Amino acid sequence: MSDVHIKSSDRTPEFKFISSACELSFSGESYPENALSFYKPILEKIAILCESDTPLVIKFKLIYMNSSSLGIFRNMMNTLNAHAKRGNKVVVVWMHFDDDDDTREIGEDFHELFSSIEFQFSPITD
Amino acid sequence: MHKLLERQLRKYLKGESPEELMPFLGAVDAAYCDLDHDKKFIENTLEISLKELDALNANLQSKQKELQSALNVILDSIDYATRLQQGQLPDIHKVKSRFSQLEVYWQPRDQIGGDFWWVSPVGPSGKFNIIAVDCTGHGVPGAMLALLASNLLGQIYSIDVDFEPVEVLMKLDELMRLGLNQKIDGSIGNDGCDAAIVQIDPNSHTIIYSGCGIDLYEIGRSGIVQRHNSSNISLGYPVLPSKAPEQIIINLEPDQVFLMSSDGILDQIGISPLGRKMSFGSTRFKIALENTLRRDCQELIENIIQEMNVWRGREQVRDDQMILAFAPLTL
Repeated sequence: MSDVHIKSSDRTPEFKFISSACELSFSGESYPENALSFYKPILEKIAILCESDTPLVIKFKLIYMNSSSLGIFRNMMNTLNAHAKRGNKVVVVWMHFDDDDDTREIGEDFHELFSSIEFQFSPITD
Repeated sequence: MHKLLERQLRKYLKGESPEELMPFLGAVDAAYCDLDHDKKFIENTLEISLKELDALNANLQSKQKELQSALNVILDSIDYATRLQQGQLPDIHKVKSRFSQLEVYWQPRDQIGGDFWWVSPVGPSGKFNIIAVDCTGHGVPGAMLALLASNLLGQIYSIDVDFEPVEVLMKLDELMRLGLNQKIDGSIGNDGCDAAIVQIDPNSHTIIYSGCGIDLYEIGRSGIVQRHNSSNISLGYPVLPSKAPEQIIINLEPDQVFLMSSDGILDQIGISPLGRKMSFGSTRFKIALENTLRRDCQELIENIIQEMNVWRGREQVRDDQMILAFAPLTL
């Protein structure tokens, strides 16, 4: 699979996929009008990755997610959780600024819901 | 000979053309004729360009009129939808008497949206419910979901007006999932809602709260603000909730005020003192409540909105905004 880089726009995050490291990352803000249409190719890519026994790392560095985006991430985490339950190592690195409790809480909520995924919380100091 | 050259010869050489100057004058004559020719060519080209520009301009103006017309149709449609959505919200004047205080701030991002509030009928027991719902999306899709959710609430309470909040939330989850055709397995559906319900029992001097994604803030007589966290459950989505939402009973005391806010205000992006984009957050929300002098619902809401707008600065409004603030009747 080849590397992917989608640049951020004012409403969508930067997305990167590094094939050699099986690493996906999201960074910025996410509030597209039609979240499903933006994220569909990414969800499909993750579904393909989860068809084989691949360890995966997903990094999140998002400061704002609208409810549609949260729905997409929930969907994504559900797929990843099932992948982890089958014995694959799935690590989610949840980055948040250390004064941003609300973003941290969103990560904690996901951690609670999807317990087979290994969550690493990574506070960022300015 | 070129007319201009003739005039110049008459003026400067008294009309005489010395033999030795003829080759030179011939060259000047040819140059003048070439210039004339070029000038005419440029004029013609300019004329054609101007004509083309005019045609292009006329075309653009016509397209602009079409676009404006299409936009007006859409805006008219949204205006109509706004009236429909506002008509579906409770009439605050009709329900205010059930409370000691009730104030609502409802501000969709795009005139219509996915946030709405609802009050159930009063049952024979005297109990009734005040409900805040935040559906996925905003604008037209948000409003469509809001319509579905509010209809479902009506349906649920028509079965039993005294259903407890947790029961209503579970039923709303199931019915919304069905209503959106979002089956559990293999569906890529992405729509649902957050909701919180407060059931008020005037006879027992208690309220029961259960929330999925919408917290309940309580301000006691002492002015201390307590945040009752909602359950980490989203309603209506294909991913089935792993547990039932929590439910708590709160004893009513005099001068208590309660607030529920959809995430539009809590998540509003602004610029932090360190110059970084960041959401308003539940901590700043709580501080705004604590800094409000009186436990007056209108003042509380105004203070939150003011603090949020100062925080927001020039950043766009990200989402629909809604705050319910109420104080139950105390005997």
